[in-house]
Amino acid sequence: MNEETLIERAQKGDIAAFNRLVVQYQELVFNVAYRIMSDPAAAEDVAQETFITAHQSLRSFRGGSFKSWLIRIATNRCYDELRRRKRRPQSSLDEIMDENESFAFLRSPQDSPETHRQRVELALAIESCLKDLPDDQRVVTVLSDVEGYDYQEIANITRVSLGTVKSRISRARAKLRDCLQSLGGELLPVAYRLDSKGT
Amino acid sequence: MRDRGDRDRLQETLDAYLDNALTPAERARFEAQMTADPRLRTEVEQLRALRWQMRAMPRRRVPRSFALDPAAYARPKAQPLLQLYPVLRGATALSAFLLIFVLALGAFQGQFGGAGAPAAAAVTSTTAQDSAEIAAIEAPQQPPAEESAAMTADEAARTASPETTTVTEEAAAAELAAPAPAGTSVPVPEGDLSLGASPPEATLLPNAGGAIAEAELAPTLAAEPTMELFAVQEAANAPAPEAVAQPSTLLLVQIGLGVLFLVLLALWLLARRRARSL
Repeated sequence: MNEETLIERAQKGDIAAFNRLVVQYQELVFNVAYRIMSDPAAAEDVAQETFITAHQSLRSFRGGSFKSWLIRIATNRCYDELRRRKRRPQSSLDEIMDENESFAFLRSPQDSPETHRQRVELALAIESCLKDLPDDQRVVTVLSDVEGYDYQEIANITRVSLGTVKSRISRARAKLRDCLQSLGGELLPVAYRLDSKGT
Repeated sequence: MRDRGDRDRLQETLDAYLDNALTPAERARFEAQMTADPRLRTEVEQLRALRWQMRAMPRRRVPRSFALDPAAYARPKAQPLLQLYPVLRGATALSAFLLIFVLALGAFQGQFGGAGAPAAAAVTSTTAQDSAEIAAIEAPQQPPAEESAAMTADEAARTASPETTTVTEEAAAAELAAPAPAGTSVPVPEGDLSLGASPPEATLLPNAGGAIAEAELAPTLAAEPTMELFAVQEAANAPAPEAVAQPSTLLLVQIGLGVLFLVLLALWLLARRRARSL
């Protein structure tokens, strides 16, 4: 059954059809939320709220990209959660990272222990730099550089102009590059350092 | 050394180059610039590496399924506000247009005390039963004529001879006639109203010369019709009772449209907020 049929059936109240869409997109939604929130527990909440909101608003979906529609709901939920956190600060992201599971998800069967360690360090460095970005810049960076959306799709998802998307991405990358370079001496493995060509 | 604006633009071009968002011409121009500037080329390579590293970040596995419980979410909730959003937008715009129209109509008719006040009075007092009320509404619009008539009458009284006492009365009558245009039924003393049209004629009367006592009496005689005049003026200054007591249909329409517009605007803003939160 294709996506359009599933959406149509879900709009008519077929929860099984909707849940098939959930299964199809839950990893994407969760990962976008995780990159923006830098917190797996918050990402889990955001992902669940995203699918509940999507289900409740399914009748207002007027076609187009269902995936982009879901990501728009997810980024809006992330913004809501980030705003809420600013009003009521919780534990720092460093603490959350410490409490986090030990990056077992990064392990690949082919990885040697050394490669795994390097991957973990790189992921930590990028996440650390990502979380230091302003919210708006982090959202466009995640959508662009992590998820691979083009400028126009990001503009549609975040409901800002194309020019704003370009300028946010540009500033975010410059900050990320500076941040990673500043961490490079300690955290980044040689193979992943930015000034080494071919990486 | 590039200034900040140039640097920002170059940075944006650089990112657009990496994201394949440049036109062929822009791309060729940027590549030529890159060839000429090794530092720019290094910068591009660094950002390319960063982009690659971020894209290569492994995805996390979902901690659990986010599928919804069929028992709790059997049917999507109806979202009437979201579904009616386009209708609400159109209705709000239409009601705003109508409201502006009726307000403009009211302003045109002098409803808000503007230049068109007499016209408004004419409309609102169509139910008035006597023309005296029309005169009462219109009277304040013509104070200069009234004053000049009064002054002329006083002068006539001062310069009048005993024989001209009746002329003084006629001048007073002219005073009454002046603020009340033709067709009104303001009570006036009997007399030759034609004098009212040309009050200066009173001064053209031959000066009698003597009878100072009677001449002094003249203002007193003139005072009686003047008192009557004050009564008319007071009536003129008082607001027309029917115009105040009976709100016009236009006013009711304005209030109704205003309320309708506010309700629609509130609903539309609510629907828009919900739509934007999706």
